[in-house]
Amino acid sequence: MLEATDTVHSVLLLEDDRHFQAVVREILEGSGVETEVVSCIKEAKQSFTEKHYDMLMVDGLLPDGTGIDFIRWVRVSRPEIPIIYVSSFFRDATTYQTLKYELQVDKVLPKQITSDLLAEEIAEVFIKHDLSNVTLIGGKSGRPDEGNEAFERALQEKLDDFEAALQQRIDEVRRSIEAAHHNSNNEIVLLEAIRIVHSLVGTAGSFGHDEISSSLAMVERVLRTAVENPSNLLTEHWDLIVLAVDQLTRIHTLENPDSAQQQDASATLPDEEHPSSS
Amino acid sequence: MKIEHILIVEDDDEQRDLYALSVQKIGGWSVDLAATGVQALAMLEVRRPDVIVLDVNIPEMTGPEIFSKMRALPATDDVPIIFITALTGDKELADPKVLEPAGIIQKPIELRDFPTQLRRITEAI
Repeated sequence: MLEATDTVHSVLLLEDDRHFQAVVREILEGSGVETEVVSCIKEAKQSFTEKHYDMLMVDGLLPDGTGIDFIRWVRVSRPEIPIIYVSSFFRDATTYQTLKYELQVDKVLPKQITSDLLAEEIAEVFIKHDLSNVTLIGGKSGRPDEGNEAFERALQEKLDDFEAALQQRIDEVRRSIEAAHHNSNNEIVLLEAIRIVHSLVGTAGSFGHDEISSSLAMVERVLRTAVENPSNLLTEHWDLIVLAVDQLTRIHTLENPDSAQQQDASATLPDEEHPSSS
Repeated sequence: MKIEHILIVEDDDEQRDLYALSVQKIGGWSVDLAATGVQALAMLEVRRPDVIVLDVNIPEMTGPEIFSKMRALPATDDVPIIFITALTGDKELADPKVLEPAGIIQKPIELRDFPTQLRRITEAI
């Protein structure tokens, strides 16, 4: 997060997504940075003409044009103003190069970024342009052990979010595998199941849910054999996969007894569906 | 070799975010994040990282394909590239291994040790 500073700076945010507006507002205003939010280029040009800003944050696609159009217009009068461009992931190299080379944008960030990382990226730009004494908590300017403290705090928040949603993620795995089983000749459905499983293998492992991660890794390996040839997956393989997914719920319940109540409330307990798996 | 800036190429939003958290907060390094090979190659033309962390299993342009394209860029032909992968078998790892990356780190990544692992690999070069 940004640290509060005695100096008041102002940021103009050009963004039509209300959720993202709120995320940025919370970061900036929580750190004492004045934040003006506009939703279209017309309003942005008006605000920019009437008031001095220390930094701009610009969305990629707006109702009346693109963020690049606006930045190009800004650069005529303020070639030095720091700019952060935030958009859904672009897929072409030209856009990135235009932003970085031609328009000298400081940061090109994905919208999928967490508020924690976004705050760090903003703080880096503030420091780079000497806008304030804002420091990256746990970052390069902090004490050596601050980094670990900040990391542990941030990781714990993410872990809490992950565990709160873990049963839903397991259910999503189950649904995708059922769909792949019923459409075993459909490579798109199969690849989607692999993508969902693969994502949870890595994330669960990084969060210390080793048993869930290793069970899913086995499921992923078996599913991948079907990409080359669907007939590689025999009935017993599917039974093995279903059994492994059933075990995920059991492991999750053992690791997190609080989730047992939710399980009791469920109308479709895995054990009832597959009694042989116990 | 001192690491100050790192490029991470990982298509999974959640995992990419976790790796970034680790290298920024624990490593104290700045980071560029890419979800695809196209993005990664565009970023390399703007800023040369000290290390590249590249997921093997990326759709469209795969990790090994991205690796070859990175090596063909004069600006980054000698930047250490470290693969990260959930793959384990010799057959599955044959493609990435033949490219002779600086290292291969097995997923799941232990986030607290990730910067140390990267540092060890680059120091061994």
